[in-house]
Amino acid sequence: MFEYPEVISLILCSILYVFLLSLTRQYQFKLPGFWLACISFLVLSEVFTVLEDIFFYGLLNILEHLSFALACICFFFAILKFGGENE
Amino acid sequence: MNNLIPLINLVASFFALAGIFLLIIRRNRLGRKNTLFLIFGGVILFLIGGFNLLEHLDITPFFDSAEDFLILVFYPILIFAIYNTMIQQEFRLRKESEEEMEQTNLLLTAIFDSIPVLLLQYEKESKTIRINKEFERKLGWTNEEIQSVNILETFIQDNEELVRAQKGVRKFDGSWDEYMVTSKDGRIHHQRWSRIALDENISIGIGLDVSDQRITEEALIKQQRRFEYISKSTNDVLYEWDLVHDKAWWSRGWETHFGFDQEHIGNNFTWIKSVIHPDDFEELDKHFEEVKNSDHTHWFHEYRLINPAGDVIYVWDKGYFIRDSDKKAIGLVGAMVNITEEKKADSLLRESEEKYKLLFTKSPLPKCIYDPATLRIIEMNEAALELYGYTKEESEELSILDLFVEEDHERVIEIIQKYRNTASPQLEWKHITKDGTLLTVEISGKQMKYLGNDYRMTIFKDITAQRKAEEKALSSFVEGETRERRRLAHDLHDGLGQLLAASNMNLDAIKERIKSMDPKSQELFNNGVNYLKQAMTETRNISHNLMPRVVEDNGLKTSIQNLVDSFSKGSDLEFSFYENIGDERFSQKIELNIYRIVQECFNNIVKHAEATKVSIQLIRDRMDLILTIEDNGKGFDAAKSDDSSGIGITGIKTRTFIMRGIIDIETNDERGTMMTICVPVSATKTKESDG
Repeated sequence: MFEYPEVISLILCSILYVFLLSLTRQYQFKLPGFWLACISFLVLSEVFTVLEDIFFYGLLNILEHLSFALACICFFFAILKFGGENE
Repeated sequence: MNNLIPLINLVASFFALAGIFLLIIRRNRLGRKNTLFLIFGGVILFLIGGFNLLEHLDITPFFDSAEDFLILVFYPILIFAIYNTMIQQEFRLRKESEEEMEQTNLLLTAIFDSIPVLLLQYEKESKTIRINKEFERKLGWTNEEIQSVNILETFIQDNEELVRAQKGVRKFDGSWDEYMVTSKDGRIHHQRWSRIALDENISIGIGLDVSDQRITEEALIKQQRRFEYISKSTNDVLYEWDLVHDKAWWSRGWETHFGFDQEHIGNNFTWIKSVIHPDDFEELDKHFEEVKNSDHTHWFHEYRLINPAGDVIYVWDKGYFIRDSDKKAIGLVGAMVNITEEKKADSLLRESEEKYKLLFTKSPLPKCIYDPATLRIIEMNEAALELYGYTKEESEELSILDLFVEEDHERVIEIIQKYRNTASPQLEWKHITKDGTLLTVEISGKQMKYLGNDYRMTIFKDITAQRKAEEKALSSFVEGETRERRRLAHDLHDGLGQLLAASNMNLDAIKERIKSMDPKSQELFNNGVNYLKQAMTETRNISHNLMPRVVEDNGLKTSIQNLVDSFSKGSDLEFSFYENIGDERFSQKIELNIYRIVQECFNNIVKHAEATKVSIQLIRDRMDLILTIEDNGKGFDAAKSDDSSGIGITGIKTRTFIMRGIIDIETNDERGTMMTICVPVSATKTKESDG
């Protein structure tokens, strides 16, 4: 069954994610693609974490870790591309 | 499949760690706080990945709980941290962008104001928003002033132009229209305008002030037209030859001056070469190359052209080389003149001069051509060379003055100056030959063109023999007169005088006897004796005047002094006599003639002059004897004086001529008369005898 910490975390992250995206749209901010992807993969990883407890544990577990790994890769490329620009 | 999970987590941890590493070692624009946030996030990701890895390796259940804790606590924080960092970054970028825009705006404003083009930002209904500095400078309006005016109606006065401008203001096709624009001070400017639409309402007008360009163009057109008129009106064919590219430009004239058809006129060296006379080309080419390769700028040459009709045209070509900084000739500008007619005239003139020269050289009359400016003799003909004894070469070294006696030089120069451009009257002069012989010549001269110069030709007429004959005749006449006077004087003195003296002696002898006669008879006798004595005195005086022995016996000084004494006693005149001859004696001819001249002058003064004072000077100069007689009487008309007037001027002149002297008479009714006679007394070798 559900593990409550995972569900709470998903709820928190989803609310935060939606809120931040709405802010972004409202103020016409442009989030760099890698960062947005990083956040999105993190949230997606949360989703898979919760869902794996309900069905398709094996597949969703792999997808969870894969999403997390993609989030880390996006984190790396976001820093490589954006954060490394000289002042 | 589960075996992949540790590997995936290993990859995730690796990239998280690599991200942290990049954040630490590389400088970035995120700022210290955000960098720390991200490092923290990276650490969380690394830990989650690491814990997942360890969890799947089943080392201890702690990692599963730790992972759950991290996900629960730090996932939202991580998401927020990343988002916050990005938003801040976005703000920063926006700020930077705004600053950049501000700078760009400043730059554009600076360009707008400093660009040397008139710029006008305006709205649809011709309302101005902004003008640049060039607009202000050219048209005199400021940004503030121009806000309230309608730009088209203000700047364009002409109605037709205004209509055209109103149509043009809505054209945005990049075309340029030219208008006459009035500035604030009323001056007219020629300006070209184009427009750019920034949006539906606002446009930019771009203007170029072409007033200076118009003035320059008009000046250029005028200059071009003037040049065309000059090239049309002149006899020169003007040209410009690009020596680098061998291209020539000709003004009009090849057709009119040289007889070439338009289709036969070329514009390069090959063509020029083809129309130059073959005999002239080699020399022309050589000369041209010499000047071209030297430092000279000017080039002149005369050569012949052959036109398509086969006519030979003589051309005088004068050019100016244009050189580059290395002095290399790169162009030639110049003018060609048709001198064929001049050459023909020159040829005819030369022929004429040849004929004239023959006539001049072979003429029996002595002739000489000289330069009136330098007085140098240019040429003497054969007769003149023979007369003066010079060779042709010697004559070319002579001055015209060398033919005259030295004392006449000043007068000769005066006459030459006086009659410089006209024929001079025939005058008599004393000339001197190479061997020193004196000649009497009559000279007439006139100006002439010879060898292209203004010279004078002089014709000499040798009248030495004629003058000698005249002198001889006059001398004979005077000598005959003297002889007759002498005979008469002798007859009177020795004949009549002796008879009268004898009569007087006889009458004296009977003087005592007549005392016995009556008084009337005595009175008659005494009157007869007195008349007889008067007759004796008169006879002696006549005899003496006819042949004054005092001249022969005592010389000129004493005889003139006697004359002065005699006339002083017989008249109320006051005489003064000055001389420096002392006891010097001269030839009998000179002494007698001078005496007679003085005697004649005294008689004239006593009879006609009504003078009160008479002054006589007899001066012996180095070469001459100068007699001056001056009175303060009423003068006389020298032009009308002759023998009929009774004053004997002709006789005086004749006596002067016999003595080879010169006479000068100055007479005036206020100052009286002054007569000067100059007689040469020193021996000079002459062609004729001294007489």
